[in-house]
Amino acid sequence: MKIANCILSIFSLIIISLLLQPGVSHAEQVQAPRNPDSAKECAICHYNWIDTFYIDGRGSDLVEYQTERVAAKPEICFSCHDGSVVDSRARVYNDLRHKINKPPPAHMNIPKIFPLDKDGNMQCSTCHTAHGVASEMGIEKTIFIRASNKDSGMCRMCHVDKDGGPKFGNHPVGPSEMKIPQQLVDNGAVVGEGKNNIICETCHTVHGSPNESFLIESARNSRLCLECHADKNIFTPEGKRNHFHVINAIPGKVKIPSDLIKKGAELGPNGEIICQTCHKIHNNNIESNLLLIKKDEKSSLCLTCHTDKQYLAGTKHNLTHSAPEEKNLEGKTVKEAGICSPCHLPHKEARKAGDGSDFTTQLCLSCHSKGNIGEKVIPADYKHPVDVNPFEIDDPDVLLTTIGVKKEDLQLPLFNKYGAMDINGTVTCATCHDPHRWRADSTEGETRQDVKGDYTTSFLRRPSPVLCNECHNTKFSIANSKHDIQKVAPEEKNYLDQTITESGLCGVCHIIHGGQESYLWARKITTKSGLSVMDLCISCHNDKGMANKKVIKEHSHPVNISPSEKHLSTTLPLFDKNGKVSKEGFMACQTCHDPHRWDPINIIKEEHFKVEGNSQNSFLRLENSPSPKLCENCHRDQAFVEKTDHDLLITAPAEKNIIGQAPAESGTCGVCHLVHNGKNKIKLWSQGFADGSSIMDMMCNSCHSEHGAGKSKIPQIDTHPDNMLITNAGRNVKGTPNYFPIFDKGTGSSTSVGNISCPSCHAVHQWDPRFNVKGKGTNIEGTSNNSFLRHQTYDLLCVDCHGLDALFRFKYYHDPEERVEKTKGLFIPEITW
Amino acid sequence: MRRIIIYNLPMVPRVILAGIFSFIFLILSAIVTDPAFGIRLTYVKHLFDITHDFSQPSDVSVSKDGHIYVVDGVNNVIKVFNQSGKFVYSFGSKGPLNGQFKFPLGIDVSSSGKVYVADSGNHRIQIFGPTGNYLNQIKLHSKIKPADPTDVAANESLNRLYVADNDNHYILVYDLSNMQLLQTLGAPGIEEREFRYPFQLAFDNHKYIYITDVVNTRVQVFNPDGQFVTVIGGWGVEKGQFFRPKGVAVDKNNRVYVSDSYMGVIQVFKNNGEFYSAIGDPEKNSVKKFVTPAGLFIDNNLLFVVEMFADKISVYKIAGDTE
Repeated sequence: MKIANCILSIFSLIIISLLLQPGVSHAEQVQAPRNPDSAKECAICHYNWIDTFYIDGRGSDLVEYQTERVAAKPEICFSCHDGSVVDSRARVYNDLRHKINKPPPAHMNIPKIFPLDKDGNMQCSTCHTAHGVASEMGIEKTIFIRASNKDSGMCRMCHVDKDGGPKFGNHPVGPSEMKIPQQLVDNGAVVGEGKNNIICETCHTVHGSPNESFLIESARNSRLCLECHADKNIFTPEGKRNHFHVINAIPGKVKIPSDLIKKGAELGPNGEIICQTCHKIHNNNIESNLLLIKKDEKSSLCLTCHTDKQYLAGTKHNLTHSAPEEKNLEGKTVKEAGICSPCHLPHKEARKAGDGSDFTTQLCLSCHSKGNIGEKVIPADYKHPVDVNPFEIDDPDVLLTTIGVKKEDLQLPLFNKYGAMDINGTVTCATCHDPHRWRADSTEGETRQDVKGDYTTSFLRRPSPVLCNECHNTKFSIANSKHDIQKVAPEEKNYLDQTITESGLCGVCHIIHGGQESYLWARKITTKSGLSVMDLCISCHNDKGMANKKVIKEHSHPVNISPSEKHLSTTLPLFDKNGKVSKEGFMACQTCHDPHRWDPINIIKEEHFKVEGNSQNSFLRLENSPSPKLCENCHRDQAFVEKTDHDLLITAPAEKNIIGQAPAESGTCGVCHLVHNGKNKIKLWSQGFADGSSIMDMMCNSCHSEHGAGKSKIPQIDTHPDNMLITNAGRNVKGTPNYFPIFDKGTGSSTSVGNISCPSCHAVHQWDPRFNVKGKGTNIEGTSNNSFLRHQTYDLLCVDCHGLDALFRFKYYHDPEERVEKTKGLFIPEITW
Repeated sequence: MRRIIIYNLPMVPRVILAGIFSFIFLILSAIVTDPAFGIRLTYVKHLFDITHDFSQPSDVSVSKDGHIYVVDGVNNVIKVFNQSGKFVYSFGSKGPLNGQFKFPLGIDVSSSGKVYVADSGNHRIQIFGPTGNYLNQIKLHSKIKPADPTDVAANESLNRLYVADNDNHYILVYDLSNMQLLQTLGAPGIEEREFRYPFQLAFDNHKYIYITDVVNTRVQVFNPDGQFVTVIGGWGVEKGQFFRPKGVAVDKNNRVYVSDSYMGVIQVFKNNGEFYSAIGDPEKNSVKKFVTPAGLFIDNNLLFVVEMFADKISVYKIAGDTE
């Protein structure tokens, strides 16, 4: 019996244990549930209906006890819509969507069929139910929403205030003549039943939009609006600029008034002007026609933001005064459409403007051109350049500056190709002119047609020359100089017959509209030098001109030559035949002279027009004394003379050249060479001539003579016997190490057969042939290795003829003690080859 | 005395009484051996989280060399991290072209390093080299609904590629060497070998495939021949039951980890389907809660958990079990 009881107990345990064991091995296959469990099908969403919670009234080892209804909470929805049943990750859970977990706005009347949760908040279940709506056709549309949303009907049940179209201050809804673009539909827009039926979901998608107000596309960049209102876009599909009000651009000087913002004006994310800056498309109780943010009474909306344009009213640009009958492209006169309308319509061209990349200028020319209302004032052919970036004009390698102002300091506006102010833009008419203001420093206008503008009015942004100074400030050191006509010739007139009083400082020489081709020159050009830029200087600097005392005559530095052809390079400006700066151009007066600046180092503001010039000023681009920087810019090899014994600034500062200039005045170079109006053609020699057997020797001897600056270095014998038919073949290439020039006896020009003269052996600009350096400013006794010799003595041409005897022969030509043969007759040395 | 009483009772009452005692004995045994009131915990130690501008990541896989591949599906990229969780590179963008994705969901990195991505929205499996270089693709076709591949599992030793077609409620089996379809496992339904929204896949050491069957709230197991083996779990919120099973992974001991995204727990089963434990929080000595845990991956003793709504991958060391 005991055994029987034990067996019974064990059997019971085994049975019960088997009943409680949930799993089996791989080999023992377990059957899947046979029938759908209706309780499960409900509790699959109604989590709190699971038996553990609902029947047992408890939680489990895994989760808390759940009593709250969570069937339409976002977490429940996401538990299937996470891709494991339906993939709504991107559409519903990733982006902006209709608000949940928040109460509806206080003013909104939520119909009772849309239940809020126990806290009065909207939930998924407010709009959605899994139990279907009987009235809707098509299960896909209906099964999860509480009411038919045909033509956004469900949206309108709550959002009553957004319905009704413009009459109720809202964007039109319902059938439209305007085609709803396929692009918008492709992006998720829903079109109502019928053709082009605008409904809420045409612009808004309640789930899955990354945009504000869950719009199909963002309106913060105007893109949504432009999908349908493409004709309002400032760019055509081909990228051409329409002459409309800008959108999606950050306003330059315009500030959107705060009261406009308070009324609902929107801006882009970076403060850009967008469609909704001017248009309020929902709940607009201001203006129901165009849904404007403010009523526009004859341009009053425009002037709300563009306050600086109001001064137009009292000018000739107000067509009320100048062309009241003129109609814009919309067929309206100024009286009908306001003072802005003749030139600007927000979404249409007001005037037919020409093609061109410079939109701003084209807009001006639409009136100021032949056959149009502004034809009396037409910019002439040669005018200040437009459509150029002023900061890209100057070549940093060339010593010529057009623009002096730094980009960040420029006060005048530049404009981009869209007509918007842009510091990286270009010069346009509107850079200098403010078409909305007649006089820069005043709000005073001028409506009389017979009154012509001058340099203080004419819609200029600044009076001239202040205006010019904004960009060309480096040119303003011309004031009080010899080129300041106000000082030196106030009665002189430009070719428009204007005195400086009438033309302004700059207008004496430059006429911005209608000047002559080269540099908009304002004076009568009388010569044709072949280099137009030079003719500008000659227009004054001629025998009959107002600068007749400073006329360049013969024996002057050559101009109209190409330094590059002479193997010279320079950073001084060279000019082409038309006057434009060109690296391969020609020398002109302006190569060495900056006509706007008397002193290349110092800006002199005081009167200095009476000062006689020297090599330190005289409108030179670089100073030429005490260091010969100007000459050196081309003649680098010759500049080694500086601070050698041949630099008279060092060795003979009191000496004077033939026009009476001391070295400090003439500069190191000017001691020996006169750049303008010299007395000698050869080398533009500026000293006298002494005795010598050739012109070259005579020049050298002018100093190396008894009364000359080089009197301590007078060679007692200095000539090679003449007529030896010495040739320098193979040594006649300048710049090569063995260069040994021979000069024509009379002209000093280089030749290949002739006589030896001083500069045959001596390079007068370089102390030591081994070192291409300037001197040290101290007097050094020479040796046969330096002493301005072209080569060290053992490498002179003498060696070619005299071999190792050359040194002796060298002494022979400079030491009278070694030249006794001279008295006995001509000595002919033996030639050793 | 008690012995006398029992011995003196008639046979039928004696059997009933024995059964009652046995039942009480089993209940008491369960209570005594379970520290969390009847549930074993497998503790995990948190190592680090991976966050890298994810938007609802869904799956994770780790290559032999330790690179962590994450499906950042809403962003249409696969992001790759090193063993420390530091971002290394990413590949993919939105689109239909080779190497582009449309809301991918699942991923697997084979033992040779090839990366298989279930490119759900493009109805295809894309295959990449270890650095994300596009190699090949399998376009999935279906006569019923457009294919909706939600996960992929490649087993090179088995030469098989398994694909879960979520909307069509079956598993596709491909020959890995020529990408030819060999077999379709399952059909819509609730019976064994039937699915309602199969979602994620994992192999065990025996090359058995484990498939989360979301709406049937279970995991189904098939052997390499495609024969149904067993189910794991069932409907409910008790231990061993699921409300929203999503991810599945198998450790080296062939223990099966299943995530439940709504309950926020990960349960561990023996491969015969028997509940083993729940992932536990050692600090709280309780069942660990995750935020919408979805894709799982086990690399040796490391557990990678995709926490979808938290936009992160949390990485744990599997530390051991309670008794």
